[in-house]
Order: sequence, then structure tokens, then C-alpha cells
Amino acid sequence: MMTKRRDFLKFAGTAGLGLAVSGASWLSMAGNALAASAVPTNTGIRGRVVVIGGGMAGATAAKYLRLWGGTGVDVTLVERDAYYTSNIMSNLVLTGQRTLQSLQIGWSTLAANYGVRLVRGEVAAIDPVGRSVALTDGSRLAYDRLVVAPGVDFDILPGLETAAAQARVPHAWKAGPQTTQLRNMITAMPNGGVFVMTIPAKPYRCPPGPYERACVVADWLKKNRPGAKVIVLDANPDITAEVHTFTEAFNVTHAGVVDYYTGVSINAVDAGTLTLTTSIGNVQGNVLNVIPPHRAGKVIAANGLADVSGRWTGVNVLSYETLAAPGVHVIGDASATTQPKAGHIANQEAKVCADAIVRLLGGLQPDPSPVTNSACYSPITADTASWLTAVFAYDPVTRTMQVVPGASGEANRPSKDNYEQMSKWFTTLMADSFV
Amino acid sequence: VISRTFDSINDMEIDMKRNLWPLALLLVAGSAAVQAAPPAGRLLASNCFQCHGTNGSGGFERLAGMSAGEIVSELREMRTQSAPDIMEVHARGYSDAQLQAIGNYFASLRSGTSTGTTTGTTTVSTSTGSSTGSNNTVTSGSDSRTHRERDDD
Repeated sequence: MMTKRRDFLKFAGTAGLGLAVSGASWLSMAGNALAASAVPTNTGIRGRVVVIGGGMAGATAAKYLRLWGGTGVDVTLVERDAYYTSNIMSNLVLTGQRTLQSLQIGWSTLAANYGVRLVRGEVAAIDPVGRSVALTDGSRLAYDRLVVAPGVDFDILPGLETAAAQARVPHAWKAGPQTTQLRNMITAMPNGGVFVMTIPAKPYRCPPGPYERACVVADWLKKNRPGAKVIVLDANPDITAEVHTFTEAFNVTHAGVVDYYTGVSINAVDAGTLTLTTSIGNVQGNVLNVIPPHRAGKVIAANGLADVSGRWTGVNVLSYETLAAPGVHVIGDASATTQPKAGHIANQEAKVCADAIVRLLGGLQPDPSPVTNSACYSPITADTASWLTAVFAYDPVTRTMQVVPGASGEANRPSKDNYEQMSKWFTTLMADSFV
Repeated sequence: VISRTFDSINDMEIDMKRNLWPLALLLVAGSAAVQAAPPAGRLLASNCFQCHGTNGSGGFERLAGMSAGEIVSELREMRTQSAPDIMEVHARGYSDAQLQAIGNYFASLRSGTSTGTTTGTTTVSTSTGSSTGSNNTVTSGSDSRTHRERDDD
């Protein structure tokens, strides 16, 4: 607890003063971004916006609501945690190439630079008719527009009902203590040991992420635990992202280390014997890394907003306003759209949403032809990475975001150059979202 | 002390009277001002911010203050690459009109007067990305290379 608090203060100090004291590499950007001095001015637009959740989507929305809406738009960010831990790059914590602390950042910079009001708390209930949010401490926040960005939550698989079982079989798919836990389990593996990971049916957060994890863990084991294996059990019928890259990685780069199985469903988990009961039989390992099926963060279903498959929220992608509750916008992983669930595009969804809310508060309609983009780099070994990108444009016929023909693709091959670019991409993306 | 306070209140009243007309005009124009559309191209251009910094302030190449012509011609050329790198694929996501709107927006950030949201004068370098709290040895070097040069790697 003390460590966490100390880290948070360290980061708050770093971001606030612009000193490169320690911590996340993007914080060195803070000084530059401050010098670039993007500050809210008075646009004449007025309104109260509450943002629930300060991840990639929520933080970006809060920042751009102030930057674009101006000083007349009151923005309150409700967040239950003391700091955000980036999921992006967290697979490199598993290999010891990054520390978890280097992925943590608070929200004090958004307050200092843009005048975002921070409220630490947990949502008890949303009242979309009265337009207010009740917090568990009894306080109430009135809004004209509400942005909900809770990210994802996970199904509880049979056998993983208890905290003890979950600690034995971490998903580490939300960066935090489970990431450290999984790192420790990997380093405790013997030579010739077996790392078993499962990939849920899509949609799940960060489509290339599980394959990336299989690659970097395989790369580490190859060098540090001779004879060890990575068994990947994928619920999907094929690799869901960067098919060329990961096919090559599994069959050539990490051949003999990664065993990849498709169409595998997980029926139960025995956390005691570290055995999975699956559609292709029992699979045992020294480490089990089970990534369960996803759903939107709890606040969605708890407030009657899970109108797509009982898991996600349907939205109008011109504004991300929900179909179910006028005035309530859902962005990022929690909404059901044709776009991937991932941090880079969540940042852009947040900008589309912020722009739409600013227009709506000013008596205008949202931009009728928004464009978003998804981009990421994935490490394939300790010093090479691939990339993936796609540009989405609004299709008025289907009222969905569709990939622009020709504007999507993946790297021809992983390279060291891509690995260097990955670091710069991450730094800049985090600064655009949090600084 | 009392008289000085009184004087300053008087000054305030004079200031208020002096500013009454502009204020009244502002109120009359208020509804029109509120409904003014955001700067053209801003939302489109924000697709660049994740990698090129908020308002194009840098990360990968700094875009704020570049001429529209330079941005548009470079992006158009990227769309023609046969073995495209990430930016060359990304560039294919925009029509000529959209590229022009993006170029115009970044060009407008040259003086900072068009949007009032950026000074547009800071040189951004990320080469100081030291992170003592981590074993991550990769830092973000300032990228002075253009995308064309990267092709030649």
C-alpha cells in the first residue's frame, strides 16, 4: 500500500512539475507538452460533463472536452483508482523489460493543464432521467452530458470463483498486481516447463495482445528456460489480428516453443492442479494464464446499459451517445461498435465523442463523417516488433464505422526499427491521453 | 485604506461601464458565437495526435505550423508506396479533400491565432526519455527523419 502511494506521489510530482524524476518514459513528454501550451480558452459554450473512468478513453475525453469545449464546460472525472496502469506495453513486464511502475500515471496533470475536476470515488447509480450520478459516498454529480468509459470486466470461469484461485491462475489482462503475479510465475518456471495461455472468443481487449504475449513469453523462455513451451489455446477459429505476422512468429521465429491450437473452449479450471478442462481434453501446465471472456465494466450492466449481448452498450458512433439512455455516451472498450477494443482507437473515439458533445452543447449536430484510426506495435521478440493499422470512416448506410478500403495492414516483417518506433508511439499516445 | 478600497471599487465601476458596450454586443452575438462550428479539419487532424502529439506538437514529426501544401503532398505520395510502412497505409484512409483539411488545420497552428489553443512554437524532443524507475532501456529519440527517409532504411 505504501509502495503504491509513494509511486503515485512520485508520478504526481513528476507530471506536475515537469521534472524527469522517475517513472514512465512518457512523463518526459510532460514538459514538452506543457511547453506546447495547449490550454482551454472561453469558447462561449457552457455545460456540465461527468466522465466515469480515467483509462485511455475517459482521460482523453476529459482532456479534449476542456481543450475544445473551453473554460465554460465543467468536466468532472470520476475515478476509483489512485493511478492508471497502462495495459499497452504490459506484456514487457512479463519479460522483465519494463517495470509495472513505468506504466503508471495519475490524473493530476489533466487537472493542472486543463482544469479537469478529479473526484476519487465509486459510482453507485446513474440516473439518466434526472441526469445525475450518485457515488457510493452519498454525493451526487449533476450533468448535462455523461461519458461512461469503464473498460472491460471478465467472466468468472468454473473453478475460478475464489480470490485464491484467481491468484493461482491470473489473467493479467488488466495491468496491475496480476501482471506482477504472472511475471513471478514465469520466472519460477523450470527448464522444460509449460506455460499455458487461453484466448477468449472476440470481442476482447487488444486483438493482437494475446499473440504478442505468447511471442514475448516464448522468446524469454527460449533464452532463460531451455526446453520450455508455450501452449496457446484460442477460442477463435483463427488468429484474430496480424495473421501474417503471428503465423510466421509461431511457425518460424518461435517454432518448437509455441504450440498454437484454434477453436478451443475452456470448460473448467482446476487451480489446485493447474489443469484446464477443454474441448480438446485436459491440459496441464506449470503456469496457467487464462484470459476469460470479456464484458463491459460493471457500471454498464448495473445501470441497464448492457443492451448488446447483455455485455456491451450500443451507441451512435457519430457521438457515442447510447441508444438506450439519451445524454449518456459510452466510449472505449465498453461500447459495441465495429471498431477494435484497444487503447489507441479508444483515444480517438474519445475525441469524436468530445467534439460531438461540444457541438451538442453549442446547439449544433455532431460531425456527420467522423474518422477514427487504430494503430499499434507488437513486440515479437526482445528487440523486434510488428505493427498494425486501420483507418475507419463513418458509413451512413449501415451507420457504422467501416475500414476505409486499402487503409489497413500489418508489417511485412518484425524489425528493430519497429521496436524503436513502438516506444515513441507509446510515449506520444500516453501524452496525448494523460498530459 | 478605506478610501483606497473605495477608489478601486470606483475604478471597477468605470471599467465595467467602459466595457458595457462590448459586453452587450457579446451577449447579443452570444447565440451565434455559441453555435459557431469548431475549426474545420480539427477532428480529422486529431487522428494524427496519438503519434504526432496533441495539436501536432511532436513525438513523431512535428506537424503544427507546417505548410498545408507540404503536408498534403507528402501524404499523397505516401499513398502510392508499393510496400507501405505504417504511415503509408494510414495515409490511404483519407480523401484528397480530407488531406487538405488536415493540412490546413496544422498550417493554421503556425501562429496559434486561428484556434487559440496552441503556441505552435515549441520544438519537441523526446530524446530525454530516461526512466530511472524502470529497466526499460529504450528511450524515445527525437525523429528528425521524414517518412520518405525511413523508406530508405
